Amino acid sequence: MMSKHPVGTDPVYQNSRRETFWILLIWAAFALWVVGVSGWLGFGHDPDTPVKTVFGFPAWVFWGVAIPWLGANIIIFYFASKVMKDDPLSDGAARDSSNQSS
Amino acid sequence: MESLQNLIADASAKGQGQNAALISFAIYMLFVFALAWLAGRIRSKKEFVSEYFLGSRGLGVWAFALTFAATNASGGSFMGFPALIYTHGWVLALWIAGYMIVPLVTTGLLAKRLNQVSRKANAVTVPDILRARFGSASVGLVATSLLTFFMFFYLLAQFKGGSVILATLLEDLDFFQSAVTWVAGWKGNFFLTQSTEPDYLLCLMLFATTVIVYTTYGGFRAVVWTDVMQGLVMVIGVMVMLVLALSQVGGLSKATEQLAEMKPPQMGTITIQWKSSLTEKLSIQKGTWMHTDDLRIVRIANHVVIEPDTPTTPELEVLIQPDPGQKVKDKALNLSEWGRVNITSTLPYARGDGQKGVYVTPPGPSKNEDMGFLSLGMAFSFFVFWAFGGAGQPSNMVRQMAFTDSRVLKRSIVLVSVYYTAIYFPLIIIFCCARVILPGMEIEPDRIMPALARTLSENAGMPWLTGLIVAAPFAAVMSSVDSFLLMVSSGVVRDVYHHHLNPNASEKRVKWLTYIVTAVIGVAAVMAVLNPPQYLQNLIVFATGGLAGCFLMPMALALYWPGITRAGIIASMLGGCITHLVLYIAGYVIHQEFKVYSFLNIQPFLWDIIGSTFFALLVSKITKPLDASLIDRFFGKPKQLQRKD
Repeated sequence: MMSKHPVGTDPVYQNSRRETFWILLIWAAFALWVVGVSGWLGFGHDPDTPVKTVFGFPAWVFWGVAIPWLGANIIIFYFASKVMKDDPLSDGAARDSSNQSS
Repeated sequence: MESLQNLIADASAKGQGQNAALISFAIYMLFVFALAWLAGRIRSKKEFVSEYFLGSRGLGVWAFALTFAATNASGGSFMGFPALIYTHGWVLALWIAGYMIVPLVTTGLLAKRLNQVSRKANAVTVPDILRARFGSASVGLVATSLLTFFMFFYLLAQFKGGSVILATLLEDLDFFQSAVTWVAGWKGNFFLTQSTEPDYLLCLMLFATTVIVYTTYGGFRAVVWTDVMQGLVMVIGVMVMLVLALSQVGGLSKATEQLAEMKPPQMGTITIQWKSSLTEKLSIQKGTWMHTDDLRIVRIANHVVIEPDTPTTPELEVLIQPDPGQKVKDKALNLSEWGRVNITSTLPYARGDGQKGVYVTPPGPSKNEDMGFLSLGMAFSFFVFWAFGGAGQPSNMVRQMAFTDSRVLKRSIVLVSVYYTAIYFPLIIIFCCARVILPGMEIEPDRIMPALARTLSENAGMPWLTGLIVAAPFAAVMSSVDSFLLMVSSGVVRDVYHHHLNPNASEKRVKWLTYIVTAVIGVAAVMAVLNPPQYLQNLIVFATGGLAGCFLMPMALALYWPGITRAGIIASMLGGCITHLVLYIAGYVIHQEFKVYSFLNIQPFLWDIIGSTFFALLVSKITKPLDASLIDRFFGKPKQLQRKD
C-alpha cells in the first residue's frame, strides 16, 4: 500500500523540486530570447542589404546568442550562489547540519 | 615529364611541424599513464567497488566540473562541430546556443536528488539506483540491458574517432609511414584485418591499448583525473587557436566582412586532356589546386593515380572555388603547357549557390536542403536537445552520484558554465576565421581542426604549437571513451554478476572480474570497428538519443514522483526505447539508410520523451503502488531530523 502521508517530507526533495521549477523557467526564458531575437534579426534579414555587425559579430549573433550567453553565465552564477540550498546529502551530513542549526 | 611530376609534387607538399606533434603526443601519453598509475595506487588502499566505479564519492569542485565537461565534449566537439562551422558559417552559433544553459539544466535538474538517493541506496551505477528505489531486480536488469546496448554503439563511434584523429596527427611522419608499411605486411594474414586500412589499424591499436590499459588499471579515479588534464588541454588549445586565428585574419570584423562576401563552392568533375601521352604513372594528391581552361580554380577531392598512355584522364572529382584569393591562385597548378583542364560537370548547393551573405545569416548554406542548414524550428529543437538530452545521459548521472556535497555541486555548475563559454563560443569564431585562412576544405571538412592548427602554428613561426593544439581533440575523444568503457563494464560486473549471479562474491573476485570485463569489452569494441560502419556520426546520434530517451524521464520520475510504480518505471524505459527504435525503423524505410525519421519535423528526442512519459503515467495509474516503506525511505524526512521534530 502506498503511503499517502510519508513520515515527513525530505527537505532535499522539497528544495530540489523548487530548484527544478526555477531551472525550467530560466531555460524557457533563454530559449525564447535566443530563438526570438535570432529569428527576428537573423531569419528576417533582407538578403539585398549588407549584414550589420556589432564588435565584429553579425548583429543577430551578438544580440541573439552572445549577449544571452553572457546573461546565462550571470544568471547561473546568481542561481548557484543565492537560490540553490546547501542541502546535506548523506544521513550523517543531515544529522550534523541539524545539530549545527539547533 | 619529370618537370610535371615535380610541379605536382611541389603543389601538394605538406608543411613541417609533425615531429612537434609527435613529441607533444608522447608527453601527453606519459601524463595519462602517470595519472592512471597514481589512481591505481590510491584505489588499492580503499574498498574496491565504491572506489573503482565511483571514486569513493569524493569528487571536489575541479574534478567534478572538469570530468563532467570533458566527458560531454567528445570528439564531435573538436572534429564534427568545427567541420559544420566551416561548412555553414555563423548559423552554427544558433545551432550550439543551447550550451549556454546546459550546465544549469544537466546538473541542476537531477544532481542533488540523484546524489542523495544514490547515497541512501548505496548505489554506484545508474541501474543500482533504480533497483534500490523500486526494490526490484527486474528494474535493474532492464536498465542494465538498455544502458549496455546503447553505450556499446557510442563506444564504437568514439574508438573510430580517436583512431582517425591519431592518423591525422601522425600521417606525415616517416617513422609512422614505416610502421604502416610493416602493418600492411602482416594484416592480410588475419581474416578480420584483411580489408582494414593499415594506417587506421595501427592507430586503432595504439589508441585502444592506451585507453583500455589506463581505464582498466585506474578505474573511475583515473578516468576523472585524466578528464581533468584533458579538460585543461582542451581549453588551452582553444584559447591559443583563438588568439592566432584572430591575429592572422586581421580581427573579427575583417573575418565577418570577408565571410559576408563569400559564395558557396560547387562540387564537380574535371578531365585533363594531355597534349602528348604520359610515359609513366602520375600521382595527384588530394587537395591539389589547379587552374582550368575557363580560368576557374578547382581543388582535387581524392588522391588519383593517372595511368600512362591515356590521352584523357577519367573524370576527377573536384571542388570549384568561387572567388579564390591571390594565395590560392598563386598556389594552383597551371597545366596549360601539358594539357587542357576542362570542367565536365557541376553540382551547386541546394541553398545559397551564387549568393553572398549566406555564411553570416541563418539558415546558412546547404548542399542538400532547399530550406538551408538550420530552420528556426530546428534551432528551437536543438535548444531543447542539448540541455535535456545531456541531462538524460547515464554518464552524467554517474558523475552526479560522485561529488562530495552540495557546495561542490553549486560551484561546479558555475565553473562548467564558464568552461563551456570558453570552449564553444571561441570555436565558432575560430572556424569562421578558418574559412578565410584555409579555403577549399569542403573536400575534407572533418580535417579542418588539425589542418588549421598546423597552418596557424606555421604562420606564427611556432610549428611546435601544432602538437599542443591537436592534442585537444584527441583529449576530448579519450575522455569520452574511458567514461563509457567504465560504464559498460560496471553494468556487466556490478548489475549482472554481483547483483544477480553471485551476490556473495568476494571483493577479490569482483576486482579481477572487473579488470577482465573492462579489457574484454574494450577488445570487443576494437574488433567491431576494425571495419567501421559507414554512418558513424549517425551511430553517435542513435546512441545518445536512445540513452536520453530511455533514462531521462524514468530517472526524473523516480527522483521526483512518489507515485510511479515498478511496472511504470519499466514501461517508461521501454517506452522511450521503443519510440526511439520505431523512429529509426521508419527512417530506414523512408530514406533507405540508417537515419532517424523526424515526425512532424520535430527533434526525434522529443518523441522519445513523450513516449517515455506517456507509458510511465499510464502504467503507473493501473498497476500496484509501491510499498510505503520504499516511499518513506526515499521521500520521507531522514530519521535524524524526525527525532529532532
